[in-house]
Amino acid sequence: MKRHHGVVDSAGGLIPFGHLGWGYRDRAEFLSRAGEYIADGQTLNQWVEYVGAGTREQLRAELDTVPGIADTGDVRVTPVLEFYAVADGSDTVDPDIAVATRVAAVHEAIEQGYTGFRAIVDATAVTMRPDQRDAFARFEFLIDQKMATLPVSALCAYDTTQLPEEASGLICLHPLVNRGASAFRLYAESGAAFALEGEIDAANAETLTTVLERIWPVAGRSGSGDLVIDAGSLEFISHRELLTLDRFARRDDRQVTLRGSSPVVARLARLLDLTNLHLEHAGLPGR
Amino acid sequence: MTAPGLVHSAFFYRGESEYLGEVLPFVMDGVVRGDSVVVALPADKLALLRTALGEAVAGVEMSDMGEVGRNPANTFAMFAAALSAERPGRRLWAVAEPVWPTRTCYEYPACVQNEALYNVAFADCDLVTLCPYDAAGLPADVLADARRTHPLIRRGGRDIPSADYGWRKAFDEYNRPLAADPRAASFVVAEPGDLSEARTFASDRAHALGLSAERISDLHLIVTELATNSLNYSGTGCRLTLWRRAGELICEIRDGGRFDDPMAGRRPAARNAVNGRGLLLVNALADLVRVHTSDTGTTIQASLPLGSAAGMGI
Repeated sequence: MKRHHGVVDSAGGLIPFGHLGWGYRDRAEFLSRAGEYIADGQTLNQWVEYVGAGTREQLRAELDTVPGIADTGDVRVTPVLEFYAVADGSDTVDPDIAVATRVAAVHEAIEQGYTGFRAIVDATAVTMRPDQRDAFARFEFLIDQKMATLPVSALCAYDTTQLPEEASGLICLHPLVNRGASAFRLYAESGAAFALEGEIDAANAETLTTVLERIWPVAGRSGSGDLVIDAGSLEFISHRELLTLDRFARRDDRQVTLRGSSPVVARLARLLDLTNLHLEHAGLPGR
Repeated sequence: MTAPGLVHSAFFYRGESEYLGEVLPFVMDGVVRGDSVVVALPADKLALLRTALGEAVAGVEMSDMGEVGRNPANTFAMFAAALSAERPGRRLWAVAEPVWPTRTCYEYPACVQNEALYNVAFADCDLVTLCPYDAAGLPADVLADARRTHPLIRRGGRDIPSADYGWRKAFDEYNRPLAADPRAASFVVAEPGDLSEARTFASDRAHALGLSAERISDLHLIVTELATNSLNYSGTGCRLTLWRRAGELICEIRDGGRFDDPMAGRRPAARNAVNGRGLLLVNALADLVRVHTSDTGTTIQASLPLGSAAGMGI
């Protein structure tokens, strides 16, 4: 089954799960989306956790201003560094530790009788510096792989007034994004190392390169190194960016297969002398 | 045998026997030497030569110029590929008929410019090229242009220098202003963030003008590559306009920069190179690409066929 994916205007209705990246400009907008996301979690008897910068008391106080929620008593609040088990004295998320922590929390929620886990996270505070973003992007990529199979999801919000150029490189690592936040998405899909969706051209070429630099080392690391990219929802890619993918594949000697390419991707791939990137023939089993 | 280097000759024929009288010995010369021979001719001439060659046709790579050279710029990639496949020390023989009587006056300037640039592109290659021109069917000014774009004229199996040769002058003379249909709607691409909307604008317009669904991908690639080039090189942004002209969809990008590299779009890209592919792709996708450049701006028009009702708007 395909996951929820695409561009949305609301955080509501993503049930039972939906990994949503949201760039917000003002706090009231974020709180409205948080309210929508929390309400669905409460209805479905999921463990709901509200995460952000600040202390528990501050987060609890802010949670009480979230619109549309009658009772926030069952919603946990957790400071963001604690949520990702960041070591004392650090402010950078360790992707592997954070993933293990989050997966353990999902199991605990299930054991306690919840139907799943959903978090509302303002991740701005742990993505202010390039090294923080490198680490957190890797976490986003890895946790999205878990979200494709475990009963867990998150609304990951980024303050675009603080991360005007940078947020899109993190938001694009979600299958669901708000309108205008990122023209392309890179997320987990069954049978593939990841899916690429949307439109990629000169407008987001740098973002694509940045994101690939971050996630390429951990993409498909459990297998032979060769990758399948689900390109079934990739509406457009210009030649430089297709060559960028080929270059990444060539750099560490991987063979990469594009599965389910749209006509424009297939046309372009045939016109370029790609070395390590291949089209999977349409109609083969497994699509 | 002369030293390696381009031999580029025009040949003016009247009728089939004159045609075969010059082309056949030329091709056979290459075949008997064991060199590679590449032939690109209009379909009727291709059939004529095929019959005349008999069994020798096996040693000749033959293409329909109406297909491989419909967009003349694409012939460069074909010859470059044949040259790179050639064994060391061997010469490549080519027969290429670039202009035929039904070429439109809209297509023709691109043909002349292409012939002019051939002299530069393959100057150092061990390549002997014979370009037949139909002296009975083509206007006198076309034949005059052939004398300017070919350093040699072939007659009776011998090449004599063309007194009128001057490729640069011919190239510049056909760098002619291009007009857009004044009734056609435009879309301004001011920054890369406009590219997505430009594709939507182009496909909406193209759909209304009758472009088939299969060619929409080609159009999206053409629009993106041309507009991205404009944004990268002109520094002015560009204006995208589409309209129907004589059975073709014209996709025009107009910017305020000067386009100084006529070989862009013809020069083969180095393997794994990132730059220099945009216009090559546009040429590969389009039926024709016309360019006009000046100090005040550059206009590029790419054509795609519209359905079956293609008319010859000469």
